[in-house]
Amino acid sequence: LSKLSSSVGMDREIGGRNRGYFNILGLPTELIKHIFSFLDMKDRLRARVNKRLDGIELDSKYHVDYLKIHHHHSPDFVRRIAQNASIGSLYIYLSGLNESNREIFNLIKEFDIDKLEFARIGYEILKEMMVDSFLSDLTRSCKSMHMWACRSVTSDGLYQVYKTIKDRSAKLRILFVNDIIDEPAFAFLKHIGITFRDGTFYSNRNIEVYQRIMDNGSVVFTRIFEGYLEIFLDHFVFMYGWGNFKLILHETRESLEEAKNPEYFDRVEVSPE
Amino acid sequence: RIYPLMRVTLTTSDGASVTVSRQLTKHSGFIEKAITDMAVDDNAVPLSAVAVDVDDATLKLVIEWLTEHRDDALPYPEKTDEERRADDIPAWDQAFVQKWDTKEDQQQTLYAVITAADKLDIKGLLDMTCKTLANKINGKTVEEMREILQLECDFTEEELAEIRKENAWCEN
Repeated sequence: LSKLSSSVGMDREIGGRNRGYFNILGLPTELIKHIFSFLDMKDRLRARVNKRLDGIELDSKYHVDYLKIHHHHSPDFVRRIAQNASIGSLYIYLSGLNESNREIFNLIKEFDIDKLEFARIGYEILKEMMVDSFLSDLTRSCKSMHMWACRSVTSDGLYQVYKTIKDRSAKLRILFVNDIIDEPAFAFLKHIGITFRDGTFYSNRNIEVYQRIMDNGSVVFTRIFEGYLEIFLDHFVFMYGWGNFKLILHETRESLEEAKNPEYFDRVEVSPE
Repeated sequence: RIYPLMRVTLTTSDGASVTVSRQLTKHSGFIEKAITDMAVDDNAVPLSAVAVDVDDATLKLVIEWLTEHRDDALPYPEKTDEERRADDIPAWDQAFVQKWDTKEDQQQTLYAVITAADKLDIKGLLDMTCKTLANKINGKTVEEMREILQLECDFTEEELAEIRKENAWCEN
């Protein structure tokens, strides 16, 4: 009898009023989630065409390889994505200082990201939003971050990030800052016991310094190693007062050796303080 | 361990019995578990009866798919932290599903196979059929999706406005 009633139920469910439609609501929630996992993100968000599907969409995690966030996205949309999606690469394009952009900017820290890149970002919004505490929040949401320097990140902010990366206490392993300004960069180095005067590095700490030196003797960049942690400085920082800066925690010995490759880099002496 | 000569008799929900080789049933987590639970002797080649809650017509389709996929890798490679895609269904599978498209009850067939693949725990078939459905929805407008799935809009005006606001960028 149970066999009979279940097959009758099946008929009612799937043989309903219109034979040509797919009765998605007849499926268990887990299966609907599985089907949703194969939809493109835009289709997935459009496909919540009734309350149950909306609830299921909200309740299921998914992964997106690549996402750009623009100023024309609404903060509500960004929040919805941040809640459920893990993102491979997230690119931020925001300019203009307004409430909506501020809200979107603030939501970046809610994401679960592999690689975060501030691809195009207005200086005003960056300066207002990218303060030390925000940078520290970001260390928990992404594995690598590529940002533009701004006056609001202090040497202490950099130091906090350095500590986090070194201790592996958050998610961040790589920080890349474009156009960092010399003053916070040098203050940060001083804070961790490294100074640079007249072409010489001074430190009492156990560090190794490598430089890329061209045939004409000019230094292109400097890599300071502390175990598996690397501090990379573009030589423009020394010459013109701004340049690229990176903090990298090498994951493997091979990657560390590659960064010190004697074919390209010369080890330079560090004098005691 | 797999004993390729072992044959398994499956009894469907409408009472029919089908005997299939263990080489096929090894792809079904449900049947494998049932056989393990029966703890059959290594050397025996029994006709074990496994009752499955799937009808005869659907089981025939499942067996047809399993026959084609008997050499698929096991365990089934499950992708977790990776973007899922629906555009990688193998040609044989596409043709297999397209055969249903000419039938009046194509959607019911798809529904029945998805449900059967889930119950029998055949991951490859489940993924393939779920992708097939996803492909019917991908790229469609909200109205077209409602049409395909025959779903009424049960949102309040406020909820609908909220969704429209969120989706503004992806609603055509």
